[in-house]
Amino acid sequence: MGLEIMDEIKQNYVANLVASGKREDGRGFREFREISVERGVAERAEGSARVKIGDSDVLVGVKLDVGAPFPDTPNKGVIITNAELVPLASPEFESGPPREDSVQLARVVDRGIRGSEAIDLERLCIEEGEKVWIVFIDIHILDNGGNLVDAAALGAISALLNARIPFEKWGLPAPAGEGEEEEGRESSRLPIRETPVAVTTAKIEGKILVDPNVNEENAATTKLTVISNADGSLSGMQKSGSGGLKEDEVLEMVELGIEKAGEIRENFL
Amino acid sequence: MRLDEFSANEKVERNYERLIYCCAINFYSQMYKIAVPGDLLSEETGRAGEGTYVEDGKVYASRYGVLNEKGEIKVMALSGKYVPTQGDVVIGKVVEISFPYWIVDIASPYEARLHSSEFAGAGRGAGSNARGRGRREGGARGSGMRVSAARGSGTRESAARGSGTRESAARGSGTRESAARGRGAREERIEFGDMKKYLDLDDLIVAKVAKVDALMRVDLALEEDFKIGRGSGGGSGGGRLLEISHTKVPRVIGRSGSMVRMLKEKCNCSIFIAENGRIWIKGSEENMNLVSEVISKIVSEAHTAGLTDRIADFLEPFRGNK
Amino acid sequence: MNEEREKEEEAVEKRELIKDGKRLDGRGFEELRPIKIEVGVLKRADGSCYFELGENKVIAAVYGPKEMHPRHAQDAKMAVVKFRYNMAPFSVDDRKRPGPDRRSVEVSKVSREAFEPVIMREFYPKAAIEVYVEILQSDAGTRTAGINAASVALADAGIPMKDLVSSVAVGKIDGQVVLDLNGTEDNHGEADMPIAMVARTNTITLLQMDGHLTAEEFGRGLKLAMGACRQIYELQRAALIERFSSSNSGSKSEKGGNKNGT
Repeated sequence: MGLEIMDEIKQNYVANLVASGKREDGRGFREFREISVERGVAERAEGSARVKIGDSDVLVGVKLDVGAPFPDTPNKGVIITNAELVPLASPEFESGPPREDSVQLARVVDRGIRGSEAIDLERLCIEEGEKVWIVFIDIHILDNGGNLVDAAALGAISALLNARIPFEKWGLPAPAGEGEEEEGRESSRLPIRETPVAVTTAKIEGKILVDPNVNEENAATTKLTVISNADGSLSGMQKSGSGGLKEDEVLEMVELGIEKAGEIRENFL
Repeated sequence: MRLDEFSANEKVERNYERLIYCCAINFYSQMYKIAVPGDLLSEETGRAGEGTYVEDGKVYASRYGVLNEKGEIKVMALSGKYVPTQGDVVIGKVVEISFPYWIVDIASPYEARLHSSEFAGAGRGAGSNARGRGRREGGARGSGMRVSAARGSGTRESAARGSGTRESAARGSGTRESAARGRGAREERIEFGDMKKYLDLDDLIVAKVAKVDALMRVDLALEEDFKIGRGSGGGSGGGRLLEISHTKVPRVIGRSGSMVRMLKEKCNCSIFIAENGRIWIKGSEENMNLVSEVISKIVSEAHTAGLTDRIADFLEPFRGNK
Repeated sequence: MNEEREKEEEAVEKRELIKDGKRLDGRGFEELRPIKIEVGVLKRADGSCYFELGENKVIAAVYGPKEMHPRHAQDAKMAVVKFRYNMAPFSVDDRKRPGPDRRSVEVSKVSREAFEPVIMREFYPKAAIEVYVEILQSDAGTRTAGINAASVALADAGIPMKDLVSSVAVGKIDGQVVLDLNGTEDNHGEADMPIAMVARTNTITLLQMDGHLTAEEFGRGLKLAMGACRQIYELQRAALIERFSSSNSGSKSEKGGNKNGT
């Protein structure tokens, strides 16, 4: 109970600040926290990235495996995205079967990668109808400082850009004309052709602000994640939270999302 | 346990008002106007009543049901769960004994509790009957008196609330009654093992909602003749429990009690209607079947006008049924 | 039937989901599939609704408010809404494994959130309001059909609400933004965007997008979907009114639209 009351006071505090045009950490409404992206942090993974947005800390690993394609797409590789909100990241995360938050997180990240056709899946076909590369994107949340979706999505595309196809390990020849070889590594890069970036905006006290931190997330009635591509087109969207949005608010959030995604892409991808 | 005793209850009184209106519009149209959540009902926010809400200076429907625009604007829901409020009279079923409380199901999302001190200072059965008799005598004095008697008991409750705990309220009333009966005001505590002797699982009781707190903890106080039977099949008394949506209780009662009065007369049953939608009927098996049939008819046609007349027609052949 | 299927497959093969300004099922770009609504179809539930959207057949039931279990999940200030979207194993061509999968967990979550702004949860502290949506037959747009059904079922259960919620999807096929994709269109389309909305206030309570749209197409699609939600709201309301306007219980409300292949 004590904790609950504390939370409520904090929520009101954050909401009141926003109502008066300010944010808890002094940011502007259209300003992200500091972002850092570190690639290749997990040696056993084919690709990895650790993304920090403020004190949110997310590690994404990409593993590749050889398996059968889906019957309806016999000549395409497979993407499987998974997210774990491990208990070490927040007092609110519990062990056990995935809860809806982690399911949603994984599916939104997955939606962005898929919708933008970021991976050229046809080039992941080894033998039509028999063997294709399966790309596992595993999102590991280390610290929840809010806005995990944006951090996870940025981590996912960064890890994919970092990933190499382990042809050697599977005794497969690298297909002709594949991405450039690097010294000391026999495998080649994953065929990445688009860089989707997720930007989440929150609505608090009728105001729209980007990249909510954890307290702002708690105070927000509604969030909208907008995933956009280099050309400014959209490849995924998700509203969450128990509030509603007006059309002009949605349009403002989309516009802001595309703008911020451009900045992030320029600086980190 | 006569219905007349309940007319003193404010909430039922309000329901009568609604029904008076419902009956009035029978003359003009055979259909009630149905409202759906979000329907704009009025711009006079002062008239916003039950089943409505006010937003930006306008009154909207918050329920799906029959619209009543006379005076206060209300939407009478035709379904929905009973939520207890202080002063309601309910029929409850004992579902658990958790010392010092009986946990009572009152056909609501919220269970109620009855403290064992409700019995302190009074012997089992006899004491409560005496209590009941006392009140009923008061009731017989006439309707004006009845109302004031009920108000008096309300005052007693609020006075008790002022003094703090529910227990002291019960003790207070116990004391008063015992004193009136010339008995010693000695407090008797009921031990856990003895609670069953007073009320056991599945016992049906009539009780008044004494208090509902912000966390929806519901405390009950016993009504006179509180124990009415066991389970739905009826116990030694041979009565029967019916359960309907509490939103339809006013229709079963009828305008100024006309519906239930007609039912009692023509079916020769005693009928007790509680605000949580539970109805206790008692009479011959045949008559109870008839009452059950009529009540289910009322329930399924609760949204239609001219119901009392149709039920009267339906009951016509049963006049004087013994 | 088979002939039609073959024709359809042929068209899909040629990537022709639109021909002479019409879609494969004969609809225009901004046309809904036929809708049918029945209120109070289940006896056990506190409220229920059967909803058809084209080939989609969906049933929603509401229970409660009732005691919330587990207790630690209770909210001392308001009722908790539980929403379970579930597809019957036989609702799709290839049998779906029974029980919740990740998709249905997500759909359940966003659907629940689509209702939280309208349900007056503060009336029932500590209690639970349970909404169950079963997809009996699926042809794209099941979550929108489920939300439309749940909305009517909630009203039928006597749950206090500020408004009904209406839902529809827009998408993109052959480079065109169109309303309410059917299964074939969804499978071969370029984008799918379900929304839910409160028609009275034009408040969007669910918004998802899958696939690829330009910002301009998005804006246009959103407007199109919002307009369609208002149409659906009128049908939901009509079904509820009609139920108690005829003396018999149970009501039906249908919207014509083009008959497709039946």
